Amino acid sequence: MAQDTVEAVITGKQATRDATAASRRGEAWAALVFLTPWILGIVLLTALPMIGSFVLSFSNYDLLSAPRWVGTANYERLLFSDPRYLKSLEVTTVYVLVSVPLAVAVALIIAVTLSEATRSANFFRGVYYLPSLLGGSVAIGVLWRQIFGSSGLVNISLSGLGFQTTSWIGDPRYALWTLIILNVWQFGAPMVIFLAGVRQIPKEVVEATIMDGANPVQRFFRITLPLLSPLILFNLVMQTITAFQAFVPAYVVSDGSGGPIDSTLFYTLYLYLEGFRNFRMGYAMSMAWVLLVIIAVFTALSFYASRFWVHYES
Amino acid sequence: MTTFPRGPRLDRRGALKLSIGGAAALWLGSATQGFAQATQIKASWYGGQDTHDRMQQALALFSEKNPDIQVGVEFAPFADFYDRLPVQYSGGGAPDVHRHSMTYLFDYIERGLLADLTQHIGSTIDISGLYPGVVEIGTAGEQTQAIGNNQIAVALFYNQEKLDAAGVTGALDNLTWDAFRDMAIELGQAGGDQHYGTNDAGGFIALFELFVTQRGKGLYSDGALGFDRQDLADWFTFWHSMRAERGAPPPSVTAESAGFQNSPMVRNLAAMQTGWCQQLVFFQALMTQELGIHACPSPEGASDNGHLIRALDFWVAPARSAHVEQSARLIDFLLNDEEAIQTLGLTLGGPASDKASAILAETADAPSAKILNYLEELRPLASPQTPHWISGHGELESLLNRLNASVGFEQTTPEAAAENFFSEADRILG
Amino acid sequence: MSEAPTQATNPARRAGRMLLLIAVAVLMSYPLLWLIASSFKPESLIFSDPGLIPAQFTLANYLEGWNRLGVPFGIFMLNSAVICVLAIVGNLFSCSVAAYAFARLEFPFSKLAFGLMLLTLMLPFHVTVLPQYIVFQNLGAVNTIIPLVLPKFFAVDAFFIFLLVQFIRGIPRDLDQAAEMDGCNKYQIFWHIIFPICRPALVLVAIFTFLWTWSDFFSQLIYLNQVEKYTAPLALNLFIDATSGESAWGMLFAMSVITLLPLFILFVLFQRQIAEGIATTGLKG
Repeated sequence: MAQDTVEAVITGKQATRDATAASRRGEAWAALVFLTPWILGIVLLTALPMIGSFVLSFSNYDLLSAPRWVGTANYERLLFSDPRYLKSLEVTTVYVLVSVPLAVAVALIIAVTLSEATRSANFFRGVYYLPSLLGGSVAIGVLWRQIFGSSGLVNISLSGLGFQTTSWIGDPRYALWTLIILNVWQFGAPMVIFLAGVRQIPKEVVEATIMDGANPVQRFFRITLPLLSPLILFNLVMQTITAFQAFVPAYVVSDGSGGPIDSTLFYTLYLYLEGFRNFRMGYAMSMAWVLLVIIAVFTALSFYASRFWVHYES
Repeated sequence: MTTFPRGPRLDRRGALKLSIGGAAALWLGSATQGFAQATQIKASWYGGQDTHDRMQQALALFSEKNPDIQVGVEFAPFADFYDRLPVQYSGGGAPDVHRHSMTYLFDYIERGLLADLTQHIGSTIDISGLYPGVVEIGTAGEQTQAIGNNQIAVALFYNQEKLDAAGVTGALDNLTWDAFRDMAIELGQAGGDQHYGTNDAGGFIALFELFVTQRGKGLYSDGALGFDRQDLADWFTFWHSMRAERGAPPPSVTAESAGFQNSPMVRNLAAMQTGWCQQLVFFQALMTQELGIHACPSPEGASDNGHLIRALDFWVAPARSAHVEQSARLIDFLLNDEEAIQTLGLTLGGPASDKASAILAETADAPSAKILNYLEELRPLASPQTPHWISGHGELESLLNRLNASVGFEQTTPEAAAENFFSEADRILG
Repeated sequence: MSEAPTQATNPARRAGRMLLLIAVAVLMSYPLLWLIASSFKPESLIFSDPGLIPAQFTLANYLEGWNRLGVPFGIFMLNSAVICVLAIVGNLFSCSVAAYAFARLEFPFSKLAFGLMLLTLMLPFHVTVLPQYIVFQNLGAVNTIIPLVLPKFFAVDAFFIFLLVQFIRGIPRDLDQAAEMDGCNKYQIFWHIIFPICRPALVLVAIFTFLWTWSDFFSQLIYLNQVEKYTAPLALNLFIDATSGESAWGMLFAMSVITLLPLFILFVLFQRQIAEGIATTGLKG
């Protein structure tokens, strides 16, 4: 069966699409069937909670007692009179803008370098993925203290070289940067996605360019990069969304405080502290909706810009 | 199932599966029948594994003595417990009886979420032997919504060896705040570079509460702050001067010292540490050198030393629980049953009654004995009051900590930080 | 296989590349090596002995940690595994069908629906968790695994839909068209063409679902209340309590290593699938 279709592909390449109204209607029905689980999910499990949270963002809901309508007070406060909120926005923006491009670039380079199915490439891919396996486990907090704390590995190396040392995670000037390193260190997920993409590039195309005498760098820019562009877009968008919502790294490294003095107060960490610890769920929900708008704008811009550099098969 | 032989015929393996399922159903059925009369309640608490072990043992004893009540248990570390609890209250699945920290207790009391235990007090819950402050804190007007499960006080822990080496042990005899500072600075200097006298306790709100109590004020009064801006500015200034001369570590070291194993004293960077008295056990477990325990500094010539001895953790039942009566019996058991007291030991904090003190003294190990002694000796010297915290305390606690760090990093002055605390408190308590 | 001839003929360059790869590997895995090393150290030496080779080697953390929590640690692993397997099945099914519709089918409001799908990714989890909890509480599903696995069968992980959409878009449309010529309908095209070709991407979905479900924390915390139902991450947290000073770091590390082991094994197995992916589907461009 599959063999037949492959034959058909090769012979029927020049066939053009000839869509009639009837087949289009059939297609819409098919789409409905395929989308049924998703539609049920989004209506029952996602949309209702989302609408609920939107409505509650105009209330003083405290998790524990009945909400009272407060109009746009929550939004006014977070936009105009909450310095901690602005701080969390600043911290998160730096984190996103620095760590996302870095992580995606590293992931791409490593994936392309290690794309062969050889034993050594397999081994290295495994090793490079290891940090991502740790995810946000409680152990990360300890590990980071072992590396970036005042008597951590970095300082042992630096003082061995005669440099002045400080506690990198305890100093508000550097604490955020240790979390950026943490994010870049865990580049496994985009790497594997790129890897799967690299394996989708038809070997014939690669071989053809080798015949043309292209060197590996030329091949990367001429073939790999354009063919991987949908996945680059995917990884950039997803990493951006994830980074905007980053919570666990700051939570485990700063013991849930976002310290020292709010230097790692990520957006969602502040949201969580306000909602669950300070009983201002209404306020937290207004923060969530502002974040949604911010992310949506970023994503829309990425998609808009992608017209100029993302290359789809069609 | 077998009475409708309409489906495909059972092969042998299918029949086997069925009979296993049937046996399981039978077993489950009989199991539930056996307890048909028993009321199911759910108890929950936070703590470490030692607490979990001892609590489960105590509950097993309870079930033995009260076959009509079946107790299901839920437990988690403190942070996880308080991630889950508000969600449970909000969704309607809160446990019938649970442990509650004073940090958050009044957030729940003031919203009317906790059951009034008054009608069970005296009849079901015997409070006659309990120390002052164990019942009072959870009592407002006619209602008692929380009953303490311990009684504790703040304390100063010290590394005996280091104090002796620096020749400052004598300073403990008349420990004023100034003497404490001089002593800490001496200890820091004696330890050498990157060594400090004590931990930076500028963010430790219970110690600040002691500080204002000694000035005849309180942390709160009538739902608002009970002290003045100047008190807080003095407090921040005190700790800033400690940091300036290595009496206390710089804020970057403090920032990475959350958790017992990271505390400067355990890391051998400091000679002293402030904390809640029962923490002596945890610090001692992490150190080889012997630790002493002493009352915290007090002002020159005060009539009492201003220490507050009271309950910090409580037993409560949600107002929505259908089994407050059973919960009350469990609370009484945990507070008064001799075997329960013995089983629990000091895992929930210091003893809440003379009876518990006496039982625990019999079997206490060295650090536990020090804690019991400390409380025993402190009791006559302590303040007779048992003030309590209020709704919003948890947030103020982290605010104090953050502002103390800001002063430490020289991002603000003690006066400005105090000002900031008051304006934030206005909003939080508003 | 696809090793470039230019590289193969240049042994110096290959050696250099190998050295670089090894250096990066060592740097990257240091924290994990420290974790593993510490799991074999006695508790008192963990933070005082910074070396990677334990001065004093002990298995106590593993032996004690396994039973320390009153329930054998294997139970927690099993609980996690059950949730993971069901989540994988749910995601593979629900996300692939939805992705196919988004990537290939024309239907009214498709752009809007796609945007909506992306939008669901953008709301922080912490604010929808509460309304969801209330729904599941009313269904009596709290303290069961239902709230953790049921949503996976309804394609709530938009990440995977988006991932698969991007993959399907990369598949030449000629394939579908040829199949259509052969008289295949959309369902057949999905099942016989798209689904098999997507195998590397589906493996990704499976891996990520497994990894992320395995290390998920917050939703497992609020939905699973009794220790017998705890998953591995919830159990790991029991080793450390900030208020009681109970800190069994050695056991925490030992059990963390044990928890990571299945992840690592699965990753190694699956990533070869990805690396070999296209070669085995027999597709020629």
